[in-house]
Amino acid sequence: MKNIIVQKYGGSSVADSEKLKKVAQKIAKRIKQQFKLVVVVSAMGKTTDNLIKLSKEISINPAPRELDMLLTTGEQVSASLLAIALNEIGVKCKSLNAFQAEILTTGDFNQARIKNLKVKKIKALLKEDDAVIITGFQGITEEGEITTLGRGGSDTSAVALAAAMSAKCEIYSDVAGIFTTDPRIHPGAKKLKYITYDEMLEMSSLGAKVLHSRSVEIAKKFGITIYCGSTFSEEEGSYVMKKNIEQPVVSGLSVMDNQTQVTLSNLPLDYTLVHQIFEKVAKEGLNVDMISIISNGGLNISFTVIEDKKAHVSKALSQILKGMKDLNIDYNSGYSKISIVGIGMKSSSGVAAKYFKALAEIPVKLVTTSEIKISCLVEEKYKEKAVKALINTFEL
Amino acid sequence: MSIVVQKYGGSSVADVDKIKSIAKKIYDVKKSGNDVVVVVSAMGKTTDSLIELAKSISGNPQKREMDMLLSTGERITMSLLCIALNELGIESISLTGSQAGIITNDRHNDARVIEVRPFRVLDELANDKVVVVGGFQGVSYKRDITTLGRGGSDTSAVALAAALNAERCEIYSDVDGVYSADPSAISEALHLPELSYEIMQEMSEAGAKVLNAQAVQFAKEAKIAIYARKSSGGEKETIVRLMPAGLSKGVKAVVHENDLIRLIFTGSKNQKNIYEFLKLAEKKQYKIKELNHAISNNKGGIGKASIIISGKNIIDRKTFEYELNKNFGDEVSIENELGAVSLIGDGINRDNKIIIESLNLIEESRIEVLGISTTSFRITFLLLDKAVKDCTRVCHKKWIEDIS
Repeated sequence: MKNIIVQKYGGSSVADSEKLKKVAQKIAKRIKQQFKLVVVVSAMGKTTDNLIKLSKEISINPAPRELDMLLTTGEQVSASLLAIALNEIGVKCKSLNAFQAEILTTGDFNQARIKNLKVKKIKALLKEDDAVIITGFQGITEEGEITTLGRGGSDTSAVALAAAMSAKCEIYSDVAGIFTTDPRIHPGAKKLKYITYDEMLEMSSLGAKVLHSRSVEIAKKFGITIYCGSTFSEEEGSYVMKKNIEQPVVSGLSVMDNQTQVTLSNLPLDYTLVHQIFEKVAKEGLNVDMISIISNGGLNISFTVIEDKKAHVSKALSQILKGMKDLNIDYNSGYSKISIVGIGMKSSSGVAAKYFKALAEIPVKLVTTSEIKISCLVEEKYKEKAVKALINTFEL
Repeated sequence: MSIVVQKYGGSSVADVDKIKSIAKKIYDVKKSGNDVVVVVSAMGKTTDSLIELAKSISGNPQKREMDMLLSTGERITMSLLCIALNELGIESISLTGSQAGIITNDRHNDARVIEVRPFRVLDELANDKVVVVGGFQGVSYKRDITTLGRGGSDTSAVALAAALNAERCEIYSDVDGVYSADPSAISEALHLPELSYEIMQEMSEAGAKVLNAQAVQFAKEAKIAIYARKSSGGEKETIVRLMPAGLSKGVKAVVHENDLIRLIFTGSKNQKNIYEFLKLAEKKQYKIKELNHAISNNKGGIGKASIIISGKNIIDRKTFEYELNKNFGDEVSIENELGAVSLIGDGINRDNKIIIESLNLIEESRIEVLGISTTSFRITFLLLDKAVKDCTRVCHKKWIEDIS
């Protein structure tokens, strides 16, 4: 069989029939170059948001299973329309939903994980046809229930398919690749030609919205190089891969707003308490970050959560810490977390010194580091200044 | 416990408020101790807007892809209805046609239900859940999604009712049952409280939109009564059920149909031409409403055939005419913009009184008749489309209004 490429087109690339026709042209061009294509599509434009809005008009807390049944219609519409557009210009293809493509997932509605892909049907179709169009974002359980993979899950569909078919993977959107920082915040952001899986994972979890982090995990596991490019321009995009050929010390900067710092002070010096607190928080499905623990006679613990989750955290903490004397819990909101990421940090010294020099005039609340990342928490009013200083220092 | 199957049409689920009020109706039926299966259509004009979207991309979209596209409409309704039912504290689950076990042939856009395997539906009913099924859709043995054609949600409902051995099947729409003529065209149309399967089937096939013909066929085979009701309530309903023959006499309804196309095959090769056309129609899925072929025994086998097809299934008329002219040249004539008016009743042709008097009436009304056909339940006059309304009115007045 000819070389197979898996391509994914995001919602803004298929937002209306004119855009679908352009995407069809782009696919046809690739087929002329003697490739067979597996194309993964998201729902058109704001479809998913609109469907969620519709369900919220009926219930503030719709059943997860029914929500998946509802949301998965979005990709089925764009997949069938793209197949129609392709056949219209002479590209032979069919659309498949997750049930037909047999994308098996766990039964965790709204956030299922792919378990197994049987690409037999896709391969069989590609013997006759030029392309197969697959609905992204969705899967099916062994019992035949329809699931979704969480927001941004179409990336994961595409990378998993590429892994299962040992194919190249190309992800197209309205952004021409991966930038040192969000071009909407900092117009001078530079495009990265290469970025490693680990850097990308840090960026994804730190608020860069380019790729679904699960897709990067799968790419890393199976060694799939992901090309991220622009749907409607020929501009060269970025490659997410194992090694960064250029090896810069710092590759990117990402910003996450709406952070709340939770500080528990005057806890008794009892480390089982630390365990209990974080176990409880995990059980509630709350994501915490930037943890700091200081013991000075008693225990002081602080961590950050997203502002929306403040009430949820407060409820969880009061359940396990009730009746504790002298305990003080503070919630400080209105923070931004600014992180720099770079695989080169592992092997170069002086990054921290440069980092703190850049931030010398900014009151930093908290700093955490990993091998390839330094994050700091600042009040939102200092965000712009801090971002500018770091971009200048590390030439991002 | 008895199973009730309810079907709600597109206008009954057109917006969130209507979906909520239907949820309340279902709540009552469930609370009074029934197992409930609900079949829903797509919300309001969803199907039409999806068709428009496809047409903005291609004049001739693949039928398979159209089914993939259109079947999303019912899925949106069924999940929203379940969300509304859950909100009322009624446990429910939505199933696609495929999950509900509605197996069809692979004739996309106009598939026929060949089997219903309702295991999953029965399991969920046993879990005390209300089961909401997407109407109009099924799955072929190739695992492709199919749709059942216009009004196909009725078929889904009755086919499920039959497979579940339901006590009854209730079809809710924006009209309170079946009338002696389309009430939107003839304001004097009379409400019909009950009808036999045979009469209803004949009406549906002659163009009555209130119930789908295959749905009535299924109900007849399984002897399930259909209750056609208005979703917003009201006293009236029409029950379609087994009725002893010969109870009703005369014309029961006057049904019309627009947008018909007639093909007349003449010439020496017409037997072969008809055969070729039938193969073409099968491939292109043209819906043949009537075929008449007369071969004269006296003139050495020369004959004439007429075939009437519905224009509604033919999206691309130009290609259609091009294909016919290419294949049959001068030996076919195509007549567009035709319509039909049918008189329906038990034993309507036992004598020739009704047909003779009707022809006199039509001639007096200066309406030109282009063809006549009959069955034991029906007399159909083929006319120009623009004459259909007048013809329906005079026939309805004579055979229904003046008699009752």
